[in-house]
Amino acid sequence: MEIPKQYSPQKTENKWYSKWQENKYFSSKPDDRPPYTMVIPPPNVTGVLHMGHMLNNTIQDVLVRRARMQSYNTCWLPGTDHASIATEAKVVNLLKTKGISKSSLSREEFLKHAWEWKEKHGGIILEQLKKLGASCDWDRTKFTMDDDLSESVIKVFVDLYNKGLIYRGVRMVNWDPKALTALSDEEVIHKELKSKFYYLQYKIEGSDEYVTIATTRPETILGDTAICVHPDDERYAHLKGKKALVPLINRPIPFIFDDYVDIEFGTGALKVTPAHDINDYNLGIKHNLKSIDIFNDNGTLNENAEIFIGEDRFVVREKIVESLKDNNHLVKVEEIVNSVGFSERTDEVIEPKLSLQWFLKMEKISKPALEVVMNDTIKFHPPKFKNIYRHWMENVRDWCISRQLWWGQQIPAYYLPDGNFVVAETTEKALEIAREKYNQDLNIEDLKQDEDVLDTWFSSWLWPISVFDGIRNPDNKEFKYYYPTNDLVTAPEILFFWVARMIMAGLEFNGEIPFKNVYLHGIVRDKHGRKMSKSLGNSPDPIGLIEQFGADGVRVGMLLSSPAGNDLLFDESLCEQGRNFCNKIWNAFRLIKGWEINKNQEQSEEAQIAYKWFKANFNKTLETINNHFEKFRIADALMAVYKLIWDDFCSWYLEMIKPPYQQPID
Amino acid sequence: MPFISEEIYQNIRTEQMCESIMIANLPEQDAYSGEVIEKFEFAKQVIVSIRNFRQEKGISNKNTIELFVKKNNDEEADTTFDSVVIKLCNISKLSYVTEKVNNAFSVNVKATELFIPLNQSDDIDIEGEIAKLEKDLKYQEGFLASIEKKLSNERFMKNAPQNVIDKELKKKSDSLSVIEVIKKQLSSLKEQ
Repeated sequence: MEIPKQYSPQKTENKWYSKWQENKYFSSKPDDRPPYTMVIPPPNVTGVLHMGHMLNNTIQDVLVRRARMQSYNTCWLPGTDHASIATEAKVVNLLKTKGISKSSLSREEFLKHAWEWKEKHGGIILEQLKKLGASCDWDRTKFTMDDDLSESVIKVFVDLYNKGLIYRGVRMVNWDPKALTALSDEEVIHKELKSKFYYLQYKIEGSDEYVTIATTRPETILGDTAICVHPDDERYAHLKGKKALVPLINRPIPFIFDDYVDIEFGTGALKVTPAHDINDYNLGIKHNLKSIDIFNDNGTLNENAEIFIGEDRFVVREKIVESLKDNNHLVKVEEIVNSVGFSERTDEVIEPKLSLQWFLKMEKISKPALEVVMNDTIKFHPPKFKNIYRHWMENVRDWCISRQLWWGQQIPAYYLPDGNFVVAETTEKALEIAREKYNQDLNIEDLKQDEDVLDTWFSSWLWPISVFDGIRNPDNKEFKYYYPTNDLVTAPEILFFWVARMIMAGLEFNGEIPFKNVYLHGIVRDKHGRKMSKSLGNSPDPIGLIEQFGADGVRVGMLLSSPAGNDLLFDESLCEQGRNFCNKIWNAFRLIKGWEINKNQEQSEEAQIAYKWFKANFNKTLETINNHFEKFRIADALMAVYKLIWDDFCSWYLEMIKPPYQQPID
Repeated sequence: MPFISEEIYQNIRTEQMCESIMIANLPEQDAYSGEVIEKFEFAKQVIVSIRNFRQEKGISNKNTIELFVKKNNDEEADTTFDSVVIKLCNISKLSYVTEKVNNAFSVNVKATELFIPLNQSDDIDIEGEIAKLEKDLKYQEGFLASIEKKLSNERFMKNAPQNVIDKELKKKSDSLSVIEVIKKQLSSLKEQ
């Protein structure tokens, strides 16, 4: 057979990938062999492959392929995540371009659009993974909103509610005024910003005296319900029982005394706005203050504000400063640096907002999840992430799990006409419980299901369990065989969002850890160390790279410089190096194939010793590679192979055994 | 690199082999002799030195050369890889000697001297050879000084494990013998 001069990935890769699929080499059924199981971190269903996915899936594929070639019954389970906030935002935007607003649609109509979009675009990223060579068991592909997975989520919600771990309550939440939903603490990104610190004076009612407070958010004075000072602060002791007037609207508000205030900070007097600041909210509860919410959900001011009604919070900030100045309330302005929270998804400034939400109590379920990591029942690679994990788990707050969206699992709480509610897996069950519990004559139509959906992470935290149907049928054969999974490969960015919660879910619902090892790889950055982003234009298209360098070349390129836990500085030249390595291997192969073999010829002395040397070297390298793999040092394992082939095999061994020109080899 | 692996695998596959490398087994690691690897490391240095020498002198690899090897400091000659050296360096004759070879270029690999006799047409550039050796000597002396400094560091000697100290001591004795060889060569060159 003629061997082509050049290795052509384009001609080879599709050919082999279809062969592999035809022959079901990657599919797995339980049998007598020990299993090796891995679940993919499900990419967003609407996503397209980016460099982070390339790194993540290359590493997974390497581990899976190695296990398969070590005779494990290997199952790498692929799938996608419904990503409620991201997907809903995309669908809303798409509808907008068609002139349809979400508010003009019913829930059912909107979901129909969303499913259509999902069916159309949902498979793209998985098809791209095939181009990379990912050896997933595609027959097992799952989606976090598949019926069985959604059912599992609902079952878990009901279970946790019945255990008293889920409650509904008015809490200060992180409100995203753009996405119009509450976010969990982990979805808020805090950035240090240069801000202005405004010193404002409030007149004391029935006196000519003023008291000065300082704030970075002057628009919120319209929601003030008290001024707080330290009980030991003599400057303000005489104000006990007096009231101050909120500037511009002249609302009288009381003075309260609490050692929460730092005498040294600012003027020592603090405006209290319970509806719009978490600390003020807590002060409000303690001192029984009124709470005046001045914002609409979209961040504009409502009637409670009395002035600037309907205008955006940031516009009002500018305007109110002018008014305060004109009315002699503005004392001075200072520049300060403060921390401001932004929405991870929409980059909108978060508004702390009081709202009625569903919460999961974290204290009880986070403790065992901390323990199994600290005592290495679950091993982190590299172990430095244990400390970060501990810090987070020891300071975890209750998890706000409701989202004011439609795309996702709708909360299985059903409200009665009198405002009571029941939680149940289906409407029918809810009706049964409601009739019994409240002794009322009720019909299905009387029950109204909660409008909100669950946080996406409230479904993906079940992923390793629910993909094997371990929530609904914990005794099923597949779940018993494949679970707990072996290794999880993911990015440290979602250590808490996902990894920690999967550990909690595993322990809470099955009393077992969901995986034995967690390999945390770094973030792919550009060669200057900047994060890759669309706006910087420094994020190469992975499929373009595969077309240019071949999937093998790109895979090598991704791994060449990616020690666990450290960021990868990506440069196209790494893929080029990968492609060159392919070519090197191909050329060596061609060279050998070009030799004529004479079976009767005796082996030369140099070939004998060369063989002895290379065999020893080969085994030594195998030892090194095995050692690296045991410690999850995948880049080092690759370097050992690279050196073995490039130096030892091509540069030395082939030279030693090469037959003289136009003569045969033994 | 699953794709190129499969492409090559299918090209060399025989009936007895697994139908695809996807589901083939990884090779098991066998016991191996570290000795042969270590011995080849030295042979490698010899080959590289001769290749560098050829390049420096502009002697094409197509032309054979003769090679005399002089071991120093009572070192035993290891002939395991002689056939490989002969092949890779295109050597017409390899012999071991106990005395310096006259009218030959010399190249050092550790404490071993390699002599390559000149052709009639070659002219030894004595000045050049001296300069090269002096450069080598300076490098070796610097290297030796750095090891001696380490060995005289009390904290190092107190805290370093014995095998680390032994390694440093070995480096020192190796370096001393190399220096001795270079010095001898220098003095013999200067006599000419």
